[in-house]
Order: sequence, then structure tokens, then C-alpha cells
Amino acid sequence: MHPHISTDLGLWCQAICTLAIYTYLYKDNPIYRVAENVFLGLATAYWFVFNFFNFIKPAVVEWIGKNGQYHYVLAIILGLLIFMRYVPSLSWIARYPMSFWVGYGTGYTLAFTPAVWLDQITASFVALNSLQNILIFVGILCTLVYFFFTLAKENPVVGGIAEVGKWYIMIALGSAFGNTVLYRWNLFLARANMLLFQWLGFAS
Amino acid sequence: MKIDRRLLYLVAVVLVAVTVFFPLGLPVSVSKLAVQTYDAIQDLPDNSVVFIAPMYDPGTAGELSPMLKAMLYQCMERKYRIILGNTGWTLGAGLAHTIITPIAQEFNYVYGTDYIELGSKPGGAIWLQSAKADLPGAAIVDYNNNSLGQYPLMQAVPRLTQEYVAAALVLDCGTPGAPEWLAQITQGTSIKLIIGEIQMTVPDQMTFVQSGQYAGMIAGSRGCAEYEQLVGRPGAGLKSQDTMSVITLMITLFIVLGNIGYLTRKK
Repeated sequence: MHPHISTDLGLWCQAICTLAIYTYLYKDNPIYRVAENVFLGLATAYWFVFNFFNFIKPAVVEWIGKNGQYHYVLAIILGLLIFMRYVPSLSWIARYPMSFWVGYGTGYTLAFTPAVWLDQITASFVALNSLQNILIFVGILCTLVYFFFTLAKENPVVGGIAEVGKWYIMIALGSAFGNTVLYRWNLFLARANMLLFQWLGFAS
Repeated sequence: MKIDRRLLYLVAVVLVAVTVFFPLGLPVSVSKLAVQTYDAIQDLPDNSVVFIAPMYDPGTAGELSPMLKAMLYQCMERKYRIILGNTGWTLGAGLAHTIITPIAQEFNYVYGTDYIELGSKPGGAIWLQSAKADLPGAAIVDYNNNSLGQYPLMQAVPRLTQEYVAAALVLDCGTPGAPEWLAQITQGTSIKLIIGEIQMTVPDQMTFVQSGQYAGMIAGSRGCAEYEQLVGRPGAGLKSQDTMSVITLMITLFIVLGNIGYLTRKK
């Protein structure tokens, strides 16, 4: 188990930044804050350059300049209107691009979501021939009743069914939480593997 | 009694270090879901074209890169033609490049004929819509900025539709991700959608497996360990299971102790 420390500069950067971020587990400190700010600065610069070369430059140089697709000028003008929010007397104009996006989002959802969700509803029509299917059937009904807020939960039947629905929801949330915890540990394990095997060079 | 949380971190770090250096070799049984996922890929027609989408970034690479590696091994052993590319996850393309390059060399895959890397394309669901109508037109250039028209594989796959693509293998960790592939590309078609999912969102995506909208799912690192065994290429997924088992035990113990402490104090 003799380590062979890496000479790769990129790996050293990764390792130092990882350790700097993990120092927060002890307590907030200047090393952590330096690493955090370096990350923010890098990410901001990265995404600015990425967006410039993937959206702005192709749109202006290729699509409008070379291909003569001038209708994109309208889209650019619409997009630029969002900056009017910085002019207090004309800030209302910024609502137009936002309205466009809300309209697009609504249209997209209405166009593409029903087909996907109808299959989900169909799949809930299960034959009651196994314990798993019975649990699914009961769970769907009870959870739906829980969300019928217009039904009086004081009614013992409705209240009882809704209570079962609440338990189903709590189990689902518990499952989601448990999975989230395991996921975070997986992230840590990946970092530990990088530090131990790639950076410090212990034999895996 | 109040326990300093840093003590818990220390215990966890020690446990991780011990299990990483001294594996326990705990058995990992293979679930029905892993077999279903393996079979869904294995049973594709010979010479199929599969689109593999690494829709992730370094934050989730710990879980998803081993899945991608195992998927690539299975696809190349079956001699499928592979289109590797994503939309909306720029860094995923770079991560996937480092994984596919040595595996393609191992299987003597020819770039442009047997596999191609499209890189990452902006646009998310909108890009997928464009690719459905004109894949080379939507992608324009490959990972290395070369024009796509020169590659036989791109000439053979003009559209991202069921006539040309047999399956979409999506490594999913957020938006855009598998639901966008389902809505835009695979819903109502014969294209099989098979996903690799991070542990955190497995419960959300499981409903799509049960409804048959996903043909299979590699569920988190545990699912990856099972899938690696089926592919016959034990990797990082399988290796992580000892540590994950010990960590799960530790967390359970802490939760029980915490609750005992809470109830005792309440009385």
C-alpha cells in the first residue's frame, strides 16, 4: 500500500479544492470561502463563454449574418427587452419577453405532457391479483382522497381513507429522503476514491 | 447527551477509508429490474443503432460514469453502432469522451462508422425536437468540431426516429433528462428508453418503469453494481457496495440512537 502521488496539475487542483470545500465540515473558515468564491468565479466565466459561443455568436454570425435568417433579429430584440427592468420608468416592457416564455412553457406542457401522463394513469389500472398490485391500488385511491380538499375530513370514512393516504405519502417521502442520503454518500465516496487512488496513488 | 456532529463525520470518514482499503466482499444479489434492463439492451436487433445520452455533469459522475462504462461494454460486445451525445449537459460530453475512447479502442470501433460523439448541444427538449426532424442538421458538428456530413454513421441516421434508432440510453440526473427524452423522442414509438438514474431520483422515475414507458432502469449505485455483474465487467459500482452497506448501517444506527435520545429527553 505504497502511495505514488500524482504529478498531474489538474488532479492537484481537484484535490486541493475538494479538501478546501470539506473543511466546512469542521466549521466555516477562510479556506472554504476562498474555494467557494473561486468556484463561483469560474462557473460564471465558464457559462458566459459557453452561452456566447453556443447561442449568441451562432445566432448573429451564422444564422443572421451568413444564412440571412433575419427573423431571428425579432427574437433577439424580444430577448433584449428583458434588460428594460433596469430602467425604472420602462420596466413594464420587460414583462413582454416574460409573457412570451410563460406562453411557450404553457404551450409546451399542454402539447407534450398529456400523452406521457395518460400512460401513467392507464398503468394504474392494475389487476388485483397480487399484494403489490393491491397496495398500488389502495395507495392511489387513498392518496387521491387525501388531496380532495373539498371533502370534509371530519367524516370518519373520508378521514380514515385520507389518513391511509397520508401514510402512503410519508412512506414515499421517507423513501425519497433515504435515497437522497445514499446519493450524497455516493458523491463523497467518488471524491474519496479520487483523493485516495488518483491523487495519492494508493493501489486500488 | 449532545454529540458533536463532527464526531459523526469522523466516524463516517474512518468507515469509508477502512472499507475502501479492506473490502469486505459482501455479496450483491441481482434484482429483477437489473435483469430487465440488461435484457432490454441485449435483445435489441443485431447491428442496431443506440443513442447514448450522458445527461450529467461532474457532480453526479460518481454514480453515472460507472453506469455509462458498463452500458458501453454491453453495447460494444453486442456490436451495436453508438451515437454518443447529449443536450444541455456540456460537461457530460467531456466526461463521456474520456470513458468511450479507451473502450472503443479495446473493441476496435471505428470513429464515424461504428460510433460517433456529437458532444453536447444546447436547447434541451427543443434540440430533441429538432433532432427528430434532422439529426445532422441539429447537431451540425461532432465533439471535435468536425462537420458531421462526412461520417457514414450520420449518413445512415438522418433522423432521431424509430426507423433509425433502436434504443435511447439516457444517464439522467435532472432537467433536461429522461422525461424530455420520453416526451419528445420515445413516447408512442418503438424506441426503447432505458435509463441510468442517480439514487436520489430513483423513486420518482420508478413509476415510468412500472408503466412500461421506460424499458429498464439502472437504479443508483446499487443498480449499477448489479448491472456490472450481468455485463461481466465489475467496476466502480460493485466496488462501492461494501462502503455503502457499512454507511447505511451506520446511518441507521445513528437514527435509532438519535431517536432513543430524543424520546428519553422528552420523558
